[in-house]
Amino acid sequence: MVEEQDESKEKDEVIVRMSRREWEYVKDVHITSNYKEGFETLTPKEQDYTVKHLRDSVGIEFIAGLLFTFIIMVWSLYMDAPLKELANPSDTPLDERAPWYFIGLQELLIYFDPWLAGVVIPSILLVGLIVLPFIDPNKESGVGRYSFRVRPIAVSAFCFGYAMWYILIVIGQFFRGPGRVFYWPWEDKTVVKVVPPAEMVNFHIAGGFAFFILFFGACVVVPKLIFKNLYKSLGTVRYYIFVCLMAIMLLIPIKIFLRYVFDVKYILSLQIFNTALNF
Amino acid sequence: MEEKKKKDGEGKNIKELAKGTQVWKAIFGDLLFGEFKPFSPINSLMRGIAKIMQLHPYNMSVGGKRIIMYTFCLGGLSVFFFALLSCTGAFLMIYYNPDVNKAYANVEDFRYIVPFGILIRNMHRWTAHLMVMFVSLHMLRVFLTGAYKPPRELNWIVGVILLVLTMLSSFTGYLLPWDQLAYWGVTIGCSMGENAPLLGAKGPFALLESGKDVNSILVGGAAVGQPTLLRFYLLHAIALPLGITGLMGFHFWRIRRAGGVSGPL
Repeated sequence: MVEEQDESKEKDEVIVRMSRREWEYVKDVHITSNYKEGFETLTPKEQDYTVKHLRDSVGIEFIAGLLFTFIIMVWSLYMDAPLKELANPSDTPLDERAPWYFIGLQELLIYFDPWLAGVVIPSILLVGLIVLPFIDPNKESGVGRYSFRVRPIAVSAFCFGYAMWYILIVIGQFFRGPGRVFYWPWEDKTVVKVVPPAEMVNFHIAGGFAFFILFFGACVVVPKLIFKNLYKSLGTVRYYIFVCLMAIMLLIPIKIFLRYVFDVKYILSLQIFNTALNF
Repeated sequence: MEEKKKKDGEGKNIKELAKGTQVWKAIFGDLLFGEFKPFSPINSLMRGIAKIMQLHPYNMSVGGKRIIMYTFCLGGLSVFFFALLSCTGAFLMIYYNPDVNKAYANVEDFRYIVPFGILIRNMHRWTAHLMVMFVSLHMLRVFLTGAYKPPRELNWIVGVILLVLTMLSSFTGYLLPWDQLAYWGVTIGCSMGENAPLLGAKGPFALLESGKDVNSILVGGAAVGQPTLLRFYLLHAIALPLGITGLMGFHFWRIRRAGGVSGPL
């Protein structure tokens, strides 16, 4: 978008050259401004482009804050914060649960060993979030608006991870009863459900290796074939980082699926220096 | 007396009148907002600081007119919740002792003895939930609008750290009532640290023994107890809020340096 002062026009008007796409957006946003349609669009002078930050942005946020203060006050008047009996280290409750924002990780404990569910997976998640701006190849597209069509892969990948985090939280918070057993909402959570321990199987060690090699191989090859431009736009290093992060994220629903459908305990179980590494 | 004032004030508006009073001078002085003196060293220093810190009021691009439908006020509300939590938290600190023998009774006192205690405690609790939720929604908004792209990469990273600090802040506060919910919730959370590879006592390739591993730095022993409560209290009331405040300042400063909220114009 280019602005220039045109001598022939009135002093307080500026010609703004913009693409058809930019015009479609601007037309949509600035209903109150006096725009005239056309490739060369006349606008009021530059002052009218802007709004006062304190009045029009912070002011609105302040009003939103007041509204939420009211909501929180009413909420606090009618609903008390939970307080159970005094802590007792010798009395483990049947339904011990982490605070809700960590319940997704607690949910993963059912499917993975604690060192994976509690340490490695959240660490990879954090590293993925931190490197995210550097592996996104589109440095300019889609900035400043909600757009799925401009960057479909980035948006769907992020939303998949985000949705998974919250779905795990919802399941952990509302669908788990005593002993972290699955309860439907209509089932009484005060009744302790006895679930016979299922016969769980491990993959054979060769099968486990084969699974991981095939899975990561597929994750490297398939995106290249489906999205022709992806590899070219990302470059080798960023492509492999991206694909590995996606593969690790996909492994979580795959493991959950294998657990429920085939009663698989571990896909790969290794013994290295007397330490069991189970995946 | 009044007549004299009226005579002096003829032809002046209220602002000019107010500027002449001693009160105005005492508050606003000429140190910060005084007449522009180009060769005054203090003045130019102040102006320099104001310029670097982006303290002057500014106009943002017109995309801001739809700020509600663009940012949904998520970031602003997170800050607001933080302020609300600081106020209610300071009130709760007056009556609370980080001592396993007293903590639970103190929290019960909020219900039965302290005036408005239960209201403030409820507000603190529910606002904390809202803040965690809104910070994560803010991250979703920033991603969907591509606001992490250059020149805002560093700010995205600071934001991720702020998200983690918010969760830790809420998590450390979870233990303070010292009831069954708190005790076992935190025990579950801390057992994660115990299972860290190499550094945790129960994790694979453990190098450190139980009670001396990375988990015990946080817990202050083999199990959650008095040292844990004190550590969590200090983290919750001092370290994490200070960290969040500092990083938040940096976060906003970077937004201004990047030219305001990301927008198409």
